[in-house]
Amino acid sequence: MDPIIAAALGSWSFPLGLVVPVLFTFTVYARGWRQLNAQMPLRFGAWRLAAFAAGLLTLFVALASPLDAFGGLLLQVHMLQHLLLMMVVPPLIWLGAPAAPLLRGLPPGLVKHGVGPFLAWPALRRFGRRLTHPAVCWLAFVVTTWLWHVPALYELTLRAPAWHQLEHICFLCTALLFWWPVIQPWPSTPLWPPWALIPYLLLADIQNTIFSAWFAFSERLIYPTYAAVPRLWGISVLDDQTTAGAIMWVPGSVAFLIPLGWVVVQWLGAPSPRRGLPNATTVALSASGGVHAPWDMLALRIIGPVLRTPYLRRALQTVMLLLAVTVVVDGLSGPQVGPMNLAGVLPWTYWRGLSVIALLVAGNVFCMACPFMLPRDLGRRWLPGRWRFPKPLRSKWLAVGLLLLYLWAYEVFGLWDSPRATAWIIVGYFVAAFVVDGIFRGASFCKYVCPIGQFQFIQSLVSPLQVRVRDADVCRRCTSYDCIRGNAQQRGCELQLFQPKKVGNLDCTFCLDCVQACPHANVGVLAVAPGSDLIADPYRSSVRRLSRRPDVAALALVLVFGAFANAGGMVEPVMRGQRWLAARVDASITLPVTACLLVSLVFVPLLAVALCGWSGRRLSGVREPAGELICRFALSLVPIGLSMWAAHFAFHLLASWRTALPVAQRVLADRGLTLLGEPAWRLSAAAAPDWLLPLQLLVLGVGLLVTLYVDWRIASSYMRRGSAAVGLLMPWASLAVTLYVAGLWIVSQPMQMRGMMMH
Amino acid sequence: MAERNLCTNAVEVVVAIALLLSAPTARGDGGAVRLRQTEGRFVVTVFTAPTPLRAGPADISVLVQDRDTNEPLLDAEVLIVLTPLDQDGAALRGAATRALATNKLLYAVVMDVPSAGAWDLGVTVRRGHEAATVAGQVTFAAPVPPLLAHWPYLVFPPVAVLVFVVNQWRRSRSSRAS
Repeated sequence: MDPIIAAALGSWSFPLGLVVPVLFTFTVYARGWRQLNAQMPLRFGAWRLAAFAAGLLTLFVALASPLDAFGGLLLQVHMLQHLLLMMVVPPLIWLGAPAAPLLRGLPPGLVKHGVGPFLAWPALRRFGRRLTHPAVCWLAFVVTTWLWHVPALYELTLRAPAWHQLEHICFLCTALLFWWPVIQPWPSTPLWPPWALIPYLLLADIQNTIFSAWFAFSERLIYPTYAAVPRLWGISVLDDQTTAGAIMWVPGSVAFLIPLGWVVVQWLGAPSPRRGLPNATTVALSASGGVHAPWDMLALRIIGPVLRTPYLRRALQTVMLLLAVTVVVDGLSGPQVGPMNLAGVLPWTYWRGLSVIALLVAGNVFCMACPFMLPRDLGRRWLPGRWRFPKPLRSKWLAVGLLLLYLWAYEVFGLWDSPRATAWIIVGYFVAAFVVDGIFRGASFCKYVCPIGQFQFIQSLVSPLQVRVRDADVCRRCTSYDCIRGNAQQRGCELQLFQPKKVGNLDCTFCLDCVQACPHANVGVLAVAPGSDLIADPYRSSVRRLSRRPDVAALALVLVFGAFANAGGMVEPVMRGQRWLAARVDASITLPVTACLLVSLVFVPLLAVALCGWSGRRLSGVREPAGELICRFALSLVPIGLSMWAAHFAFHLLASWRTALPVAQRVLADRGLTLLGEPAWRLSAAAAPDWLLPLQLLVLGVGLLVTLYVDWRIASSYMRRGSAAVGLLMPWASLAVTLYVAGLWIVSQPMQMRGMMMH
Repeated sequence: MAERNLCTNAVEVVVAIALLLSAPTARGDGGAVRLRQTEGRFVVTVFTAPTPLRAGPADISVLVQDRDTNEPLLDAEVLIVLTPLDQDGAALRGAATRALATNKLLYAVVMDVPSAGAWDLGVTVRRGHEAATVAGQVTFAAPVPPLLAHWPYLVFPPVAVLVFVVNQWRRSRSSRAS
């Protein structure tokens, strides 16, 4: 093939803003279609799936193929792109009868409670009927076509991508409207008799002919931009314009005439229009049947058996242990520059980011792969291990203190850039795990001491997976309670979580000991709606009611406000302010940093929750004690806090994800091994990708929405009357919005490039 | 020895892939025609995006055509140099490549312009023993604040809240009616 043609044909792009929605829509459709195909094979044959897929594929081709890349250079290519958007994509999409499959493909609860009220809204239904009236559809299509081809507007779209995208959206939407009465996707009913489609299509074809003739026969250039761009393949600008007119004329007319012929044939031999058909929501919901079992990760063919094997956890722990030992050795013996040392890169850049991603997509994976399991086991073997953990310390208060100490030490000692301190912290962790679990019974270290574990426990309240029983009836009949007591082959839950009464992920290490111990195979890793764990306040095994756990609320608040303080500590204005304060009081930077942390982690949270608790009670008139309200609403802030951690760690991970390679090269080179070559330090110095900020904004926005939703549900559980619930909710929602705005400010500031060779 | 070479080569491939994956992708298939000049055996057209140009990441793409045949030339080396005209500061240099362009007939590069103002844009094209340089002036406007540039991401939470409020209103209406 000619290399120029080959290069032109290779001009594809894969914009995430197109690829993700297209794949998501197809996945939902295919999921719904599969169920409907099983119930109504004639109505939902394979051809419907093929038509819908072809429609989405054509949309992708129109917007991401060379058609898009060359549209600004050749008018004929641009017109071909518009032709696909207006004449090919919409009929294919409607042939897929997408309403029922898309609704069926979504979770039934979302359809019933989320989409359902809108679809049943009489005003919206009236609007829909008016919008899909053939006269409106025809006019919208024709007016949009002509309007966007007015030279001033068309030139604007060639200059500004945002206007170009708006033009494409208008074309696609009005074309979907135009083809609606023609295809009349099931289960909609026609408003006009079938014969009315004959003038509908004929008139559209006539206007298309006039429109195309304007391009084909014009002797002057309609769009001057095409005269300014370089001419390709010797095509003159007027020839290009004429060809564009011909493309609109001939294939455009064919696109109108084929359905016109079909309509005529159908009209001559068809029965009267369908009446009384169910709407798509009814079909989607009625067909969805009874209660669905939640998705179970352990039921997956390959992943399930792998997860169930006891060796998996040991393997993960061994890998993490080896990594921890390597980090300690390099931290103590390697160069004391964070980005050049494994102790500066692996824990602070990779581990933090990856464990937060794991929390968002799965659950508490870190505890599952905990590297401190070996010292804990050794402690239990070598030390007495017979005492119970001291009663006054059997809460989260010790962990709250340790987390505050960690957040303070991180800033004051610059742990991210101090490999030796990082190594000593890990060594300290090993010693603490060895001693605590060597002296005290059970998993005291995990439950009461480990700050990392507490971080994971609290954040996993928002995770989409939970270890819990599959069928409560099976547990009711169970008399052995192996899940907590254990048996000859397998120990029970170390953290004293009794599966039948276990609710949520708090204190669950995802060790899956209960899965292996249960003789009835009744424990799974089940999907839940993220954040749903924060809404209700049932009795939880070994945790009790969260409304009566101020220590858990305090832990949550430290982690929520800590997310903002930790990220805020690395932005330029805050660091400048701290330096200014240090100069004013003639002290080292430790004093202003300590003051900032004290204010942001202790005073502000205390003041904020006290104010929210008091004003919420005043505004709503709720009688429950303020302490209970604070305990429950404090947990509702966990999603916005987790989103801040995620946005912060995503910055480090995405800006320095290549750093491990040069550091590994350096570690080997220091030991005389040049297996991986010389360290490629240039990999360590890179800018964050340009999609990082949008991703951070998206994550923060989702975190805010989940927090607001949880707030609303908690408020509704106390106050039946809507206005009273709003009164109770308002202060907490305001606090969440304030945190969101703080997060927006932080991510939009210049950030210190920690973990990279460009501080 | 052979094993070491194999390993080193593999690392080099990983490094190259890492550099490629993390490089900002230039669209290089749109924007305004900023410069079009015939120099030596080449016709050089320079496109820039966004329109108007602003300080920050600027997408610069170049089409190099043969002067006689107008055929796009795909094996040239293209170097872009941006020099500030009304302020002190170092010139920015970037090699435009076809790999970075969406439109594979163009050579593209993303250059991070630090400040607004007038800049001299120079494009040097080399192909075999032939070379040509074209130049012109471009003006960069002040950058849009980062949050404003990504306004759709800020709009979606209030829109979602609004939709939720309507949803709850509809649900309460329908439950009252039933």
